[in-house]
Amino acid sequence: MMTRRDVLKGLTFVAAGSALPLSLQASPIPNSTAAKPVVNTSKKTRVIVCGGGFGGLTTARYLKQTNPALEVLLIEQNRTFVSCPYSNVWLGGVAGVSLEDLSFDYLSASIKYDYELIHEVITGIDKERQTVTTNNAHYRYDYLVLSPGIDYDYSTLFPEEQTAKAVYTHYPPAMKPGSEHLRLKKAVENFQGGNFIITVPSGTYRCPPAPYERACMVAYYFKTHGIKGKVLLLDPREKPATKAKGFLESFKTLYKEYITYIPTAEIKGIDLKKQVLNIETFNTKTLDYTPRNISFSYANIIPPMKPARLIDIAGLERNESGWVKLKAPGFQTVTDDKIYVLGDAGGHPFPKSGHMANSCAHVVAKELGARTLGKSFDITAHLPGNICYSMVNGSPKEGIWVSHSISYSRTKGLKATPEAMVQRDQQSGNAIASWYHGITSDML
Amino acid sequence: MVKAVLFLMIALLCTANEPSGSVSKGMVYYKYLLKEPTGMRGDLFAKQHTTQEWLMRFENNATVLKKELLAINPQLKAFVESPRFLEIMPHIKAFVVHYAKDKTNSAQCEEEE
Ligand SMILES: Cc1cc2nc3c(=O)[nH]c(=O)nc-3n(C[C@H](O)[C@H](O)[C@H](O)COP(=O)(O)OP(=O)(O)OC[C@H]3O[C@@H](n4cnc5c(N)ncnc54)[C@H](O)[C@@H]3O)c2cc1C
Repeated sequence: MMTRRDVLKGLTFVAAGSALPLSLQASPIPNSTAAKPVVNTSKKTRVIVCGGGFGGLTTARYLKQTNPALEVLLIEQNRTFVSCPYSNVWLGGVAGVSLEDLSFDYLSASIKYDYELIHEVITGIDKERQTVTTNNAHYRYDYLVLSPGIDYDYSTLFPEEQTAKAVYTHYPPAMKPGSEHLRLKKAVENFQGGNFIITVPSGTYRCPPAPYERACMVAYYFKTHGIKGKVLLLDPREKPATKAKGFLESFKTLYKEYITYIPTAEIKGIDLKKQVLNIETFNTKTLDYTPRNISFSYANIIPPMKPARLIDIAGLERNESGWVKLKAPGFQTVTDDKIYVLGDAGGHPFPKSGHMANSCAHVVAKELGARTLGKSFDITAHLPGNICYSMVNGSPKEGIWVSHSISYSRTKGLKATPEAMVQRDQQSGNAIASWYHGITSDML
Repeated sequence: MVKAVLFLMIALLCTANEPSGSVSKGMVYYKYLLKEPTGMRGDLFAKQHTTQEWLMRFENNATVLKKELLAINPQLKAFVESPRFLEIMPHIKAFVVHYAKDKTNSAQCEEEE
């Protein structure tokens, strides 16, 4: 864990877009006009892990453990790891949770688990030559593991690029860590009253419970700070995408005065000057959608999502919903069996969560480790799993959770089935911190 | 090169198969306008056919779909012949295509508690 000073230093680097190479190995001097040299020509089998988030960090650590003879190189563009999980709890000002709890340095993990780390931006992947190109150099690989996360897709909400850019700048989704989260935190802390809109994206998105948990935590902040604000939670669905019963009960009993849940809400446009959101909601009497305008003092607009741009750069085939097509039940891409994709960018029908990314990374590390050792590995005996907690109350700490089991059959493919489902209680609230510290110490 | 062209063609084909309606709207319209008359939950209805089969059913103002709906429930006649049906059709199409038999998408109502 980092000190406050380290955290701020790290964030400044990221915000400034610094892309200076920081390599544990001898790196060539960056020069955009010169031909980029191929770094490392050693004969060892080399795996490059692209993206140091939940999936990538876990893969790098456990690959090296499964086959210590491998050369594992992790390439991550940011210099500080900032977590999305637990960030809503920090946002709500829950006692004992600070920015330091969300932030970690990458270097300690790479030393502890003995893999190479560089902070560069990946700009190209050549599947024929088996090289990864960054802003600095080319790197040869034998196998590639991509866990690059998500990007936002504003095209259906605001087709005009100018509007999309302005919405992102003023009202960032905060579904990627770092600067977006800091902006949202400031907006909550400086809120003077009125409507605080949170929109839930349509389609498959990162962390299904996150917008609902966020609504609870923002409302918790208003409640405990005497702010006369109302959280309007706009959802295109008829009920929350996950843990519906637990969330709806929490809205009603804990935050009756603070949260209004608006189902079947489709965004039609935005007037940024007047701070008005144009929406349509389904009217169960006329059985049709009717337009409504909602004014807001602040809005956390979360658009639909797609895989991170790195997937386009790699030229990997996607499934019908835009996520990367994989060879079930494993994680090799259908495009190239030397390339694995896991985490949120992957196209398996799994919930897009940090826990899932971590669990899948364990499987990939075992499978690829065995493959490089010439051993066989039965993935069906090692299917991943998921557990997903949400904090709904800060004092006393109360949470709700759901777990998913994954099954596979040749005919039906992969399937994630919700298993245990626990409604609001203090035991779950307290378990969130243990879960979070457990998973971060498994990666970092 | 051939691989790249093939990849582009597949990508284009995939996007051409994504209808312009809204999946979430289609799900709501289905629930309120078609679930009771067909006697079938939306996710099960969508899983009746593959993407290609659904696209074929929506051709020529959904001629085949209309026939099939009438075979399930003849009382739907007035509705399927109304302009309203044509209006909501793109959304129903987006919904069933998104959750078609050959898709890995599973309707979130599976998380029913
Ligand atoms: C508010 C919020 C709360 C959440 N709460 C939970 C929770 O309680 N439990 C849970 O399990 N999950 C939770 N999640 C979801 C979780 O954060 C994600 O599912 C998880 O981070 C996915 O891991 P990943 O490896 O796919 O992507 P990420 O963790 O996003 O990692 C991707 C990494 O790739 C890097 N990268 C991308 N492109 C490049 C490039 N071109 N060059 C170099 N580096 C690149 C990025 O910088 C990033 O570090 C939450 C998410 C949010 C937004």
